[in-house]
Amino acid sequence: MEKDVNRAPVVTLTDVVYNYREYDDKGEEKITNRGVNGVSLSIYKGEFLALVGRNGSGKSTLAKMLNGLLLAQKGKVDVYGLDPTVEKELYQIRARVGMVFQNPDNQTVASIVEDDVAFGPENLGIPQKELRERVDTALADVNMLEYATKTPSRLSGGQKQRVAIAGALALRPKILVLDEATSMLDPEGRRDVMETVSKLNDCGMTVVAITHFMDEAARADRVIALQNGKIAMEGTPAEIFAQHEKLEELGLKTPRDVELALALKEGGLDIEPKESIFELGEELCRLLSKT
Amino acid sequence: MSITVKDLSYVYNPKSPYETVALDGITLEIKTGEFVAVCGRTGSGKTTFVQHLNALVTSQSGELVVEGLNLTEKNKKLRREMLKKLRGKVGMVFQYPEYQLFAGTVYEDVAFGPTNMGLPKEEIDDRVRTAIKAVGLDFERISHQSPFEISGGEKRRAALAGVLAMNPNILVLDEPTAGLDPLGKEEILNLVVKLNKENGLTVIMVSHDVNEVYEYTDRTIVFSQGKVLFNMATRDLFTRVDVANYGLEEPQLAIISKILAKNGIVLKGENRNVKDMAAAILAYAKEGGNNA
Repeated sequence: MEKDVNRAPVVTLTDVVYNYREYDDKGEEKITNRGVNGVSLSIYKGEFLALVGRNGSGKSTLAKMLNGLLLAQKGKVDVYGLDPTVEKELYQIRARVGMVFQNPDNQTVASIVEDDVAFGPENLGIPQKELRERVDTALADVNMLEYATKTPSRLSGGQKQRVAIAGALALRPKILVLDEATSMLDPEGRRDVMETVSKLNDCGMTVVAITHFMDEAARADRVIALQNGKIAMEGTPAEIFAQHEKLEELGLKTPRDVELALALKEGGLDIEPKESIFELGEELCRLLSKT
Repeated sequence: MSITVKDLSYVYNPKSPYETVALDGITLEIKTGEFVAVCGRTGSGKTTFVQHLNALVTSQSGELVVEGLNLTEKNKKLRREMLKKLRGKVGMVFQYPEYQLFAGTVYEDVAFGPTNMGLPKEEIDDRVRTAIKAVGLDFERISHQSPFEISGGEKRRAALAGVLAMNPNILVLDEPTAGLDPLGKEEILNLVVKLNKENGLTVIMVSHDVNEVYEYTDRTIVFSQGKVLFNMATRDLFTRVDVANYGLEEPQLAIISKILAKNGIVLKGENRNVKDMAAAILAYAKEGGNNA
């Protein structure tokens, strides 16, 4: 089923800059070039956008500007027509953009799963009856309803991250930002979380995922690669992975199957990268059986 | 033999409602100079196992000998002596070791271990320099910087240098590449291979990434529910066993080897990295299967 990606931008960044400060031995402030150095981009309603790049390329800094955790030092951030530099609008932005971070243990605030999920909306002063409904819906969305009264510390990593996602969903956001939300999980936990995110995206949630896993980026509608705080590449996953050498320059790697196909092609074999490793294997059998 | 484990068991919260059997009768051996992967689901016992190797977790039952030291020693005085020796022999690199950096400069951080061992000043300096260089960091540039001001990949290497400065014979790494970008992963793994091959360190690496396990390690031990499920040569495990049945992913290059073999195409060599695999396939295409 083709997803309906509405080309109306919900977020627009215009030339945004955020540089971290450093202090030298004498305690004097120095502005570094680390962070984001002039990025313009739009995020569209309903899309799945992946942000990739080396550690320190500015991905997380960029993500934190999407809900006003960091405010741009230069340029303009527009989220649903709201301006994060206006305090009243900042809180409206926070309600629209939910964030999930890397370490599930750092995002737990309560000792019972449902209390943890209720923490955000409770602070917004949501009445008890609606609160109950929001928590149950959010837990159902991530398939964790049966763990509502359990202790988060006794859950697996993947389950904890799904609870963290539920905590964000309980605020009824329009956009979900995942900052390497799967990097501390085992393969099963990772699959769990990615399936949950894909399902939410299919139901209309706009998703921005920061990741080092190229197979996760491959699920996105659009991939943006950052380098030194600037956009270095942008396109569909297929377009990005085809540019093997450019990716390596950015410190990223093409998936192994693409790398193998390209190496064989360079060696004179009549072969192109395939959708999956299995298709590549079958194609190789055809080619090699002839010889 | 570097490590000998016989019938080792460990129970968390024994005799309580939360009682959990983490290790259930583990028996295995690890030879000096091996590069061994430890795999398994979260909760399979692999972290509890590696924590035993430098006595962070005290063994409850069974035998455990590491570098000739008896870790199940019960006599208090002998045990204290054993622990002191052990800490210098087994270097433990935890998950996200960069969060354990604490000193004012990289130099002081790396010097912390050897200083606590009470070594003379010159030897400490010598060890710090060697360790920082061994992990591929520029000593002049980095040693006097704060460990919090260097990049993520550099932090992880600085943390590794702190462990190497203890001159261990065995290096235990718990998911050393988690959270790193693809190039950072490759750099850390190449460094570990170098320490294994050139400096002769025995390496035990816990990893969830079957592709890196396949490419870099000699042998793989798979834990499941506190027991050893498989303990065999890495290539044999991933090409002969249907690992998907045991909750493990299949390495991409193992999938290629298996598909080709099923169709009667047997390549030369192990082909555990893309370069070798490409070369073997091109050679086969040229010569046909005759010389395989």
